[in-house]
Amino acid sequence: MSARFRAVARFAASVACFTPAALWAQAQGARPAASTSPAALYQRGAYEQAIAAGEKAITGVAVPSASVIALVRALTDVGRPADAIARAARWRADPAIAPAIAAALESMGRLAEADAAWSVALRGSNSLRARVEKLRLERDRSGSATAQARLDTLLTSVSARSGARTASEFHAMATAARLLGHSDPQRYKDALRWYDRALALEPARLDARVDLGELFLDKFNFADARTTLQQVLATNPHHPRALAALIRLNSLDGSAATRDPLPQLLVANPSSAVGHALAARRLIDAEQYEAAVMEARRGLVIDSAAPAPWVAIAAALWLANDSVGHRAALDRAHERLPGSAYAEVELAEVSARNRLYADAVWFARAGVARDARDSRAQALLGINLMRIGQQAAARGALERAFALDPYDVWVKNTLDLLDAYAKARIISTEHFDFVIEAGDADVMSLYAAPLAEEAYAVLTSRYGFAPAERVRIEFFRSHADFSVRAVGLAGLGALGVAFGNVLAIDEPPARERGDFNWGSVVWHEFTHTITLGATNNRVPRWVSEGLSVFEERRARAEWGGGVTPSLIAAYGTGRLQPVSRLNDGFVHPRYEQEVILSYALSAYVFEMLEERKGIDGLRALLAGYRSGARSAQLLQQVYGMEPAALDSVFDGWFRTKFAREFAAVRGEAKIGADGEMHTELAGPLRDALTLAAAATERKEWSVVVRSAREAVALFPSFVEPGSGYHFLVVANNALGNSAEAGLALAAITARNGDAVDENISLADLLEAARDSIGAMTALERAALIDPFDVKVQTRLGDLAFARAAWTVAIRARRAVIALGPTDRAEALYRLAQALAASGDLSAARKEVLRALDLAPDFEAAQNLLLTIRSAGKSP
Amino acid sequence: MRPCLLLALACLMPSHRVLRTQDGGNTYLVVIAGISGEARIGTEWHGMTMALASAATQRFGIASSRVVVLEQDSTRDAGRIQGRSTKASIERVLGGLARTLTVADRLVVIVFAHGSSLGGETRVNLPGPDMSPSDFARVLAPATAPMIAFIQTGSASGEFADALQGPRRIVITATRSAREQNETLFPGPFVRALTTDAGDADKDGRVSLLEAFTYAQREVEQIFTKGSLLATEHPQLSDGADGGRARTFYLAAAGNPASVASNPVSAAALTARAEVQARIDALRARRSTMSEDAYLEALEPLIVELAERTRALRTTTPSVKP
Repeated sequence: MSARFRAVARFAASVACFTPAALWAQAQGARPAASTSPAALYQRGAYEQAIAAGEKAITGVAVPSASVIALVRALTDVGRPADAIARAARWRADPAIAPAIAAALESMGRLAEADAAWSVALRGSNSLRARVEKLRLERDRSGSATAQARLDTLLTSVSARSGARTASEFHAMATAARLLGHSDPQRYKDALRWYDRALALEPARLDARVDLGELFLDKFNFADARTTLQQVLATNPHHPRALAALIRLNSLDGSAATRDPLPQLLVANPSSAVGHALAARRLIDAEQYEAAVMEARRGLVIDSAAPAPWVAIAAALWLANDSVGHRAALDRAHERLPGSAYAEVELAEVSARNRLYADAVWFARAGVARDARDSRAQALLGINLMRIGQQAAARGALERAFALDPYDVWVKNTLDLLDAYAKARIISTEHFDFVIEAGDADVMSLYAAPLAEEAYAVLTSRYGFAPAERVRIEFFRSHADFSVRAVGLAGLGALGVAFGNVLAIDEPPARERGDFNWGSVVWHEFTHTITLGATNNRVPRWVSEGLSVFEERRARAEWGGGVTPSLIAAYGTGRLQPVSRLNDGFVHPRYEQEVILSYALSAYVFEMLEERKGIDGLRALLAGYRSGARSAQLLQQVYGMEPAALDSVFDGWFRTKFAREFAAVRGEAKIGADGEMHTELAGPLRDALTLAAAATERKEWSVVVRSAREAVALFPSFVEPGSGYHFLVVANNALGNSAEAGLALAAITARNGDAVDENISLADLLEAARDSIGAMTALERAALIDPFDVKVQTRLGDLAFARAAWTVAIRARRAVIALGPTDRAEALYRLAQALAASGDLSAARKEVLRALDLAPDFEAAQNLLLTIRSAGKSP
Repeated sequence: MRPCLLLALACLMPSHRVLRTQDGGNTYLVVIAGISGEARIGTEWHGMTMALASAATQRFGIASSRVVVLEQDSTRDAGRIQGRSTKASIERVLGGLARTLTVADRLVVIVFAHGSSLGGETRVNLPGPDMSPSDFARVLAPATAPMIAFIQTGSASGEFADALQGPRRIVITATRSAREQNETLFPGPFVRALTTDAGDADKDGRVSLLEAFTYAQREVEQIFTKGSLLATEHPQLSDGADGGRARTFYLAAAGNPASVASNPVSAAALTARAEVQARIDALRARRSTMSEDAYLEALEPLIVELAERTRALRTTTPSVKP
């Protein structure tokens, strides 16, 4: 544990020491006016101009090496390496130009020739780099440990002598150190240090900066990776490797990209193997497996054995259930990856992304078998074992991964989380095992256990599917811990995550009060358990999420969020994907809110589909996914609609269903100060609410009431903070119209499952109006949202006791005890009272004795004990 | 006419003769509120000092002449605040008591004051010169005979435990060290526990210092836990007996009026009841060796006997304190 902490701390410290930003800014500031030399044009990413200038330059007599290098590199970067090699033919023996030629040859897969070109470079000023690159090529081609050992020897000998002096040499040493990090993670620190030195000497050395960005990315240091890559792209917006790394980064940290770097990459280099492999990955996410294969093949035009496209093809064919094709593609990938776990690591990641966690385990294991020293393969094995509930085996793999690379933050965080499990309690019911922090277990289980069992009964019956194994629900008091459980890192925006039969969910204290309803999250995530299980994990994200939200709404009127002005505005302005491409709204959001709005929209798709064919239609849909069918095919089979027809039918249905709301809200797309597109609300609803807000400031309550009523009439289901109902509460409270305020609160709480304070306020009003049943109902909702509120529980217990609602009273009073009341004897006595009143004298006797153990002189408790004993003796 | 003590304090020269109790066993309460810094805090502290002063006379039966309140602004409630909470005043009041109290007497000092740790030494912020824990220790040093409870409810109060510990001392602090320097939450619940029934965990009609401390400690813990906040204060109690002294230290007077004790029927019932309580204590001592079910099984007849004796006692003597 402490070793883990120290290692990561050291890495962080070394990162913190690296401050190239100032140097970079200095270099930027000192940059001369834009030059039109081929080298300057290449540096700025003006590839076509660089090529034109380079072509012109090489026709001269005294051709500067820099112009030739720029021409060769530009041609290589735009996907014309053969032309690059042809143009450089005259300079094949020039050690200065040889590295550019070697890179062109390598991009075509002509590795032996690339090696020969590096041999030429050995004679020049880049000799150290040439030696490192030759050893890298040898290692990649043979997978031999000898090359790795020779790299080590080389690095040691250079360090022992004078060390590096030039930026090129520091860059070469950093490259070598990064390669050696595979077997000795301490080398990563050396790599960081040497990249730092290289960039200090030559801030404009973009390749070194991209290498550094990739290293940060490999270690999940997203912030530094982004900064570093953006520094590169600020100079050269078309830098292929920087763009590829940025695509990976966006995918890993879930950033919504307004300006998607993938098209930029493919425009810059239409033949990019990596670019087409990344594009294929996106098509895989959209279930378009055949299209993914075709896309990946476009990346094989220049190098027919390039591993990245072959791995993408292998992934697409795996998901398309074509095991023979998958194997053949994987074999092709392996041709270039001797002894490497790269392909398996990628396949494990694709599987996990598609929620095929058992498959991810399988691929990670295969990766470990190919290269037991691959820390990422070990890490993915451990993480995915955790996701399928095999904690003990997971720890072993994670410990091995940590030993191989103590700088992997994901692994370190996950191991810390496993340590934290030791403090958790496991509470079991018929179908569930709840893992809850010991101090919260008694409270949470009071609510979670019956709720989860209710969800189980309802959903297994509806879908005709029951999980084969017990379901494990892990609750997290700390959102950071939940986030680590979900994605290995802190900062995830989600509230719950389902890995199949293992669910991870935030506890109420993990979030701001009133931020969410954990009960609805339990229902949502367990629906995933059903839909994932029923489809053998082959359900697309939009279907699984849509059904989960739909089932939330079916379970409780106030759950699942209803239609909102934001949803109507986004839909109305075409900022949401049509049903046929709704998956993209989840996996490739174009703006921050798109994911959350896609959740809401997809639920309405299933509401419409259930209206058409009932639950049998939804069951048929899931059965189809299980058999390997795709959405388009299934929607045709089950609902008789082609994708375009479904889009159109849903559009009509949605606009009809919410015709009033569409009339009330207009969206206006605007570019915000952050340069991103936003949808601003406009229309009558906004006008009414604006009036209400202005009148509230002036305390013109009658105007507030009038405007707020108008807002409510325009959009009755809008109940989030700032709604017409909220203005009505404020105004009516100010006017002393508590009944009216109560009605507004009732409307909010009936539709907004997060509204804990509104429920409490409603209970206050109803209790004052002597509506104790109504008050009790409101407090029950509040207690479910935040079971840790001892005042609500105490009040609910008393109200329920007074109304002879024994079950509610007993649960609330048990919750009070679980919350560690300062007056424990009193709390135990009250629980005993409720138990006795419910007829459970045995439990009542035990609780009252517990109270009297703490306070033997507690006369009310003494009397209750005597009463219980007397009642127990009665015939 | 105001008690002699107050007159003496008004001229900052307390007369130890007037502090002497008639029967040799009295409780003295000294409440000190230092420099508040903010008006809000000053108002809160004043409310708490007054609540304690009122409870002392009305709930605990302490003679008003044995209650001293010192605040930063003595004019705020001249009728009930006996002086400013300067170092000189505190030394005179505590010093006078320390020299005169007997083994049967008890002194309770409750301090509401910000603490700070400058130059390695903790100081309590007072009007004029501040006081350190060692200053308080020095002033109270002569008081070896009486039981003294010293409660510092403010920030950076942890070092008082070491400075004031002794064989007949109970020290309660809001923090466990001088490094915990945030405004403390401890004083509110501690005063509430002492001045209301909220802290009476064992329902015996009185609140011991241990009960008050435990109540306040839990309340503070819950505030931090509920808010998922890092706890910035950790109250501590130090009495050299693992809470044993604090458990039996009450501000309220014990026992029944002489009329009850002199009634043979009531006295016999009380004795019988006390005998049952002793058996309950004996059972509790064996608790760790038993399962909970076995323990409760054994406890039940004793509790029933106690309940029946209590009922009987209530029948014969309704005003009795069981």
